[in-house]
Amino acid sequence: MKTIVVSALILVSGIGLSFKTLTETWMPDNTKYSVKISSSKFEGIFKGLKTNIHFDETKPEQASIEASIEAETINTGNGLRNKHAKQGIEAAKYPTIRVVSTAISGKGNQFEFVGKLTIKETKRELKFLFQFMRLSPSEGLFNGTFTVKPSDFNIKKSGTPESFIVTLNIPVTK
Amino acid sequence: MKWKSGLMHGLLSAAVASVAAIIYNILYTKAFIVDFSAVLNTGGTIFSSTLGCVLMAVGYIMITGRYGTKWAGYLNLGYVLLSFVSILGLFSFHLPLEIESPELFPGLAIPMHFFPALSFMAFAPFFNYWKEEQ
Repeated sequence: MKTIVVSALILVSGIGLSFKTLTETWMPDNTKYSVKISSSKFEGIFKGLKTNIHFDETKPEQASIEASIEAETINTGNGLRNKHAKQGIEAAKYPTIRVVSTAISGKGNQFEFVGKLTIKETKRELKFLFQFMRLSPSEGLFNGTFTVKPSDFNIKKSGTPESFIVTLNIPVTK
Repeated sequence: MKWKSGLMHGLLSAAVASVAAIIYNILYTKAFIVDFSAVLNTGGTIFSSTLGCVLMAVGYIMITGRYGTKWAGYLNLGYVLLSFVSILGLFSFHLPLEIESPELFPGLAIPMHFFPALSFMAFAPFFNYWKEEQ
């Protein structure tokens, strides 16, 4: 019995290990990435990107992507608007904006991200197309664009645009 | 004589306003650890101070020359009003997104908008707009 349990544990840990080695772990280049929002009223950027990216373009179904940004870092280029935006997303109370994948599919350098976007602790499904370009064996670039409706996340401060376009440009290294 | 004296007044005021603005910029930048040099640099500060002070001098020369020196007071009021109006745009001014802490930009730029008028009015009594009427 003991032998069976030990064998099962070795098998399970072996499967876990082989799964991790099948995907590649990427780290963002913290000096070059951009997380940009734009609307009819203004543009802005976020900083404080943290990621946990396991992605191999030849096996996208095994990929997993988690990323977060710090809500307090929003910069629209205008102090009053920054204050307004931080109040809208309640950055002090909800300091993190997060995306987590549930499924990734695609081929070549075009992929589809399906997952959850969390703003103000409100989760909504997120689906968008993104590109991954391998620049060298240890360097790559993620590009993607999606739309966010603030009202879906209970952001109702007056003056908030109906929707934002979020543009991601994230150089990564292994 | 009035033009020469008036332009001297404008240029001297501009020089003093520029020096004041540059010193204030250095102090502010060090105190708040910010860098707005991409939008507010020494060349731009000197140019805008010079333009403002020379225009004020031209206004003095033309208006006081035509209507008398008592109009200098109205001009001063106008210059102060224009200085106030000029700061309104700073609150809606959008800095490039890579510049951090844009909320600190008005604190740097607003006082600078008053330096040319302050400097110009401080030096006005030393120039002979008044003597020619006596």
